[in-house]
Amino acid sequence: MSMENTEKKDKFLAGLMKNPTADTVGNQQQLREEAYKAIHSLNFPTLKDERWKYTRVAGILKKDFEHKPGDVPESLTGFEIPDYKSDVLVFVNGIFNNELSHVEKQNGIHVLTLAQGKVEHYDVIDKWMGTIADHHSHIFTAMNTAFHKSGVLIYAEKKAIAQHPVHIIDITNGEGVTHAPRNLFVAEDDAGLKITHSFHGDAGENFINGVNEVYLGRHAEVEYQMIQQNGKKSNHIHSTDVYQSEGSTFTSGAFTVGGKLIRNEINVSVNGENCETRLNGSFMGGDKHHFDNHTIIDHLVPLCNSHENYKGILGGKATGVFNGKVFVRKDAQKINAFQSNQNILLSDDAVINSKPELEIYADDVKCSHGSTTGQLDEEALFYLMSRGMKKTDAINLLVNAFTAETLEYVSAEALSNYISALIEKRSDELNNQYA
Amino acid sequence: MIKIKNLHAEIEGNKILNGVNLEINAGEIHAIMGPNGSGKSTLASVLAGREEYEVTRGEVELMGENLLDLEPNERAAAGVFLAFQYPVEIPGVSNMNFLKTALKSIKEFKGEKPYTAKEFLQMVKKNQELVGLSGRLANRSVNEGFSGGEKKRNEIFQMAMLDPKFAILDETDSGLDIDALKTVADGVNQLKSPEKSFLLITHYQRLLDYIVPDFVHVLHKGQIVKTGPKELALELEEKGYDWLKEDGVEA
Repeated sequence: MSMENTEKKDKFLAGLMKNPTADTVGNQQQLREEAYKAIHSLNFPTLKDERWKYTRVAGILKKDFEHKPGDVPESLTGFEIPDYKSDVLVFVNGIFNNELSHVEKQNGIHVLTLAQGKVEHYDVIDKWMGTIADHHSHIFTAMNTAFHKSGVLIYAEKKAIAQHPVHIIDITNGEGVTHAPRNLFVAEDDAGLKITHSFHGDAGENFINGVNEVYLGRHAEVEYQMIQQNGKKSNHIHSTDVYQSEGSTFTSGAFTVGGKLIRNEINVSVNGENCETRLNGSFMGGDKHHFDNHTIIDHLVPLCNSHENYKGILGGKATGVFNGKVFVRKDAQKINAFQSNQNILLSDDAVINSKPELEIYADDVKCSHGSTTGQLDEEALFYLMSRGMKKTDAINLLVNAFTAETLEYVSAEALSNYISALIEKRSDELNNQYA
Repeated sequence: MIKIKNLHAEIEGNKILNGVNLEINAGEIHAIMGPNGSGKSTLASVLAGREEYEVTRGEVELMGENLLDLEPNERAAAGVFLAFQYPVEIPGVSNMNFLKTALKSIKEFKGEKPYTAKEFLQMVKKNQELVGLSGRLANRSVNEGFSGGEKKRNEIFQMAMLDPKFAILDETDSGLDIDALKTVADGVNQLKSPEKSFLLITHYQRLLDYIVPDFVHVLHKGQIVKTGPKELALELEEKGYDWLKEDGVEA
């Protein structure tokens, strides 16, 4: 790294390090220090890094970001999901808001802020935190690990199945704000959790650097749906790192309808037989948005299924990236892995970099991957219009139909309807960027 | 009802229509026949407002209104319907949802109240029976996995739902077995009324056994070269289109 870059990095980190948080219970402080050391030996990625070939983060480094409080909304109108009964945890600029949050007590299910969790369930935290996400070689994960101030612990004891989902609402507002949500979701053997995580923001430039660690015990089921309605100048890097034990099912969705630079990473380590892994998402960008989905499913053992389906819709001068990698390790026989990325470009200037990858070291597997990119089906558009539909309605209908598959594994109807409505609204916004 | 005057149209610089003149009065059924490549489907596409075709000369009036200025959806609202030669499959869009939205837009465009859910369902039921389209198909995605015959029935079903004033049937008979052809023709015959006009585009005379036209026109090289009563269709069936080959161009 050049001298100039080192200076930039130090200056950038100085902003993040103001008013640092320290941990006093268990080995959490040690984890922060490890991560802090790693940051100094790691470089910020450039386009020369294979994993960051299509996503430039240099723009984030140029700006000064700080942890600072934001405006707390008076109510959750516009943030809550209609008809969706859930626990709600609200964070504004990464600061927990107790008044707007509510959690219903359930046997064997613990829903707390990370700060509370570090006291009340420090054993759980010590056992898992920092063991699934990689703070040694990923600089953004290391930064989150070193500097995070808040987050959520959701812990399901053995055989505890949550009766309703948890909705984490992350609101960011103001200029030059940064925060680093750190969440740990643990579902012990035979436990079940459903988590929805929504991001909201105003027009201020911000930088959110989130990490989720998810542990699934034997036969556990976790569904994690992320909805990004970030503001138009939001930079959001988020890593979801997952460990699956035998017979477990992990389902995730990433629905991006806002933000300027979005990078979602999902890394799933499938380390037990008979697991199901489902990763889905839709990203819809316009203007000069840059939305990047990077996934790794690592099949370490035999007899598992994985299913991955991402859809992109890009207008204006937006750029999309899909890089999905599926590893099937030696002796991981009888793996069924399906991976698909389809995109629609609404304008001539929109770009997609799609890279589905399979690396297979076993011989008895069934894997398929594919990627298609095209324009909106003009013939279908004409057909719909010839029946009296307005062009905007026809486009919305086609966009909704195109993304519908990615909602297949959203289990709650209210949530699915909510996401569909967001997609339609976004489609309306992108309509005027349709060339 | 509709007046087509000296209509010229081209696609990517290829002139396809070279001065079509045609007037259809309310209550009339006209058939356009002609060899492949004569411009039959282009005429249908231009009337329905397909963007790829450029109208270079001429005009089309629908009940006094300049049709060529309207978007395809506005033409539908004005009462034009095109039954597609190749109906489009649209996975993920339910037939019902699509029709509901289309009808709502048309009503809105006309400044009328939308149908109530009950009215809509009654219309669906009645018109499904009319064309022999099973409820199972009506609830699926638009044309997805439909057989050729089912697609054509679905076109006529949509036509019945939208209740147009001027309907163009573009080779609706192609790919239909005789039973399906009869059902489709029955549907059209029941929708026929003194206020409605139909333009049947067909290559074969067969359809005209079941839907009897008032006039038959022969289109050749983008122009109507002959017009006659329904008997003209039989004559064409017998003679084929070879007599059009006066200049040796393959018809």
